[in-house]
Amino acid sequence: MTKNNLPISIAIIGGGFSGSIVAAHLLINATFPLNIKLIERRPTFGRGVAYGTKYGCHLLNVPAAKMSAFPDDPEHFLRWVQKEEQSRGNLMPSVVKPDTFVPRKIYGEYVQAVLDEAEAAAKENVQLERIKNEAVSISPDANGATVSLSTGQTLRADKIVLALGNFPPTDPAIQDKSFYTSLRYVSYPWSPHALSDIDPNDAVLLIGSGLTMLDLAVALKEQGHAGAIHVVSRHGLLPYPHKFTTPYPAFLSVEGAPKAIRSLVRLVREEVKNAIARGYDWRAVLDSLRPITQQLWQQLPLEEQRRFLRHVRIYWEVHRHRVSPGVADIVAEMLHSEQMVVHAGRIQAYDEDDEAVDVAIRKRHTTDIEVVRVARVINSTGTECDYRKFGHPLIQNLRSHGFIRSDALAIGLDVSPNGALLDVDGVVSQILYTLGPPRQGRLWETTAVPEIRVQAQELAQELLRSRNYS
Amino acid sequence: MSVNLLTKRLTLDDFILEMMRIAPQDLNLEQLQDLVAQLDLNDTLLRQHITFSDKTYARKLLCRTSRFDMLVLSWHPGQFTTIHDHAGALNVTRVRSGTLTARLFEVYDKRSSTEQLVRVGSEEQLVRGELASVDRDRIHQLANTSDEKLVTLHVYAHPLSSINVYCPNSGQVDRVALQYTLEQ
Repeated sequence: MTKNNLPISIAIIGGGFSGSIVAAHLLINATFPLNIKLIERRPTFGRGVAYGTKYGCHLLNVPAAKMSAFPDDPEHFLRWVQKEEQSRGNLMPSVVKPDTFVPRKIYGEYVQAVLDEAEAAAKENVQLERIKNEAVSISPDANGATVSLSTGQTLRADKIVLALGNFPPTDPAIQDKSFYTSLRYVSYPWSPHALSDIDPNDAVLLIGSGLTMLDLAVALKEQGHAGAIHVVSRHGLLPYPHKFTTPYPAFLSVEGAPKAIRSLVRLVREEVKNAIARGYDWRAVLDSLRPITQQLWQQLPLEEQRRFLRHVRIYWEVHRHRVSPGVADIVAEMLHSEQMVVHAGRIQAYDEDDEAVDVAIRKRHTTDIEVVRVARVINSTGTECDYRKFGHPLIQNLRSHGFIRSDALAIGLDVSPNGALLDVDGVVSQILYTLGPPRQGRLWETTAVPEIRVQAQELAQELLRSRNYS
Repeated sequence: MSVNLLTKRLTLDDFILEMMRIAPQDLNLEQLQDLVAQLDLNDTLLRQHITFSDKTYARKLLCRTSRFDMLVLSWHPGQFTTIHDHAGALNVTRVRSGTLTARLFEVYDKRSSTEQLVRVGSEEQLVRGELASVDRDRIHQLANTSDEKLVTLHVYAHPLSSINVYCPNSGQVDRVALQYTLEQ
């Protein structure tokens, strides 16, 4: 029985991939009266930041066969996209195969379609309410919580899912921050104006050399940019391209794996060396770790996790978070023609005049300073994950009331295994849950669709299991 | 209009002079829009007033004359104003960077001058260089519902001494006095 026979109400804050797929699972599986309130501040549901790009050249970094929203139906996306391919004109590759890297904006449509289909298939007393608004505070009480929206309205919910996705990058640390107020500086790489009003012959500087930087570089190429594209990051390492490989057999068990990061890295390196000698690709060795990465992470002591973040993270990311071959080819050509120049080092200072800005870069492991003169600087350092740094009212509100706390590494929020948030005293919430990037401290591997779809399914099951909320 | 022909932008000095040419009672929203639309958004003085706060959007008074107030507001994602009117002042807001959500409200139940229920009448998203305009008696709310930081430039004519704040739940209307220092 639900309390007073009223429908259970679940509010999902954030209508990107995570929030939409939780909603879809709730719609499909609820067997009792349920009201789902999906709250999204952007004009469209289902896209989030990841799939909201306007550029057709922004491809998924995972092949179509691995992008299903449903872990139990791995070919769901492939079937959908193959059915859709005829009507997509130039945007879609003419034939979508399991190994095709599909444009991200097409994937956004898929997420919307999944939500729409789940809504259509839901039982009559299971309803989805799409609320285009912004949640700015949550007040939990004995019977649930009140969510306040920026327009002043409030709504009640028995359970709340914080499907917050990724937060914007922070400005790189520097002594004199005055350049960060310049119109030549773009602090947010997904800004609709990040690449507008750039003269095609101007030089541009992209800070950061990961997947976000590659997105910007190919978007510049798509809009006919001919000027230099400077890239600066501490190590100057770019993500490796995907390659289809023969799967490598599991070589490491959770129980047998070293609990120290140095030994773990040495072991993986040796395995890669052996594998290559036997004709395998290094990618297959790393991919064989995927099913146990979260467990390997969890059994590392905190100090070893810290050591990983300090010394190994950058190398892990360029090998693990690979780029589609098509994008890699474009970037390789830009590097070959020297249109793109990668600088390993740190930005020391900006000196702006009426025409451009001189950016002084101290080269890695040296005291040498190199100056590049560019018309625009775009921060593409990737998502910020330290919740203590967020000025968003909802995060401020939850933090100031002690309803949430950062994990010990400050790379996400403290969560229990079922996704329930821990408050400032470590008490597991009965009301607030999360999934996706906020679980990074607990799981490490939690930002890609293959992980989030499992979390979405399990979280929906958890929420439906505890139906007697009163 | 004495616009700087070299840059085709109004400096703050130019703006002050232009505002002084028009008698306050004659100033209308279109004239104010024209002038604000020409302000130099990369002005050094304006840039010096950009600062962000985690508690709420940061509001810095850039200039006050007998005719107008000019403020720079800096917003983290998610920050928003109250629902308010400007107690008879004209207001034009220009987006310097980021995306501004501007909502106009309408009164649907006026019980008294201090109890009025309001609801959203329209909402628009404005990007760099675009204007949000609010006539003397209109009720509005501004917010940063985007994922990136937002900086906006606001001109109020006459200078603001108070605003009326509307509570969307109770309908209560409160007159709130505004006080600025140059560093506020």
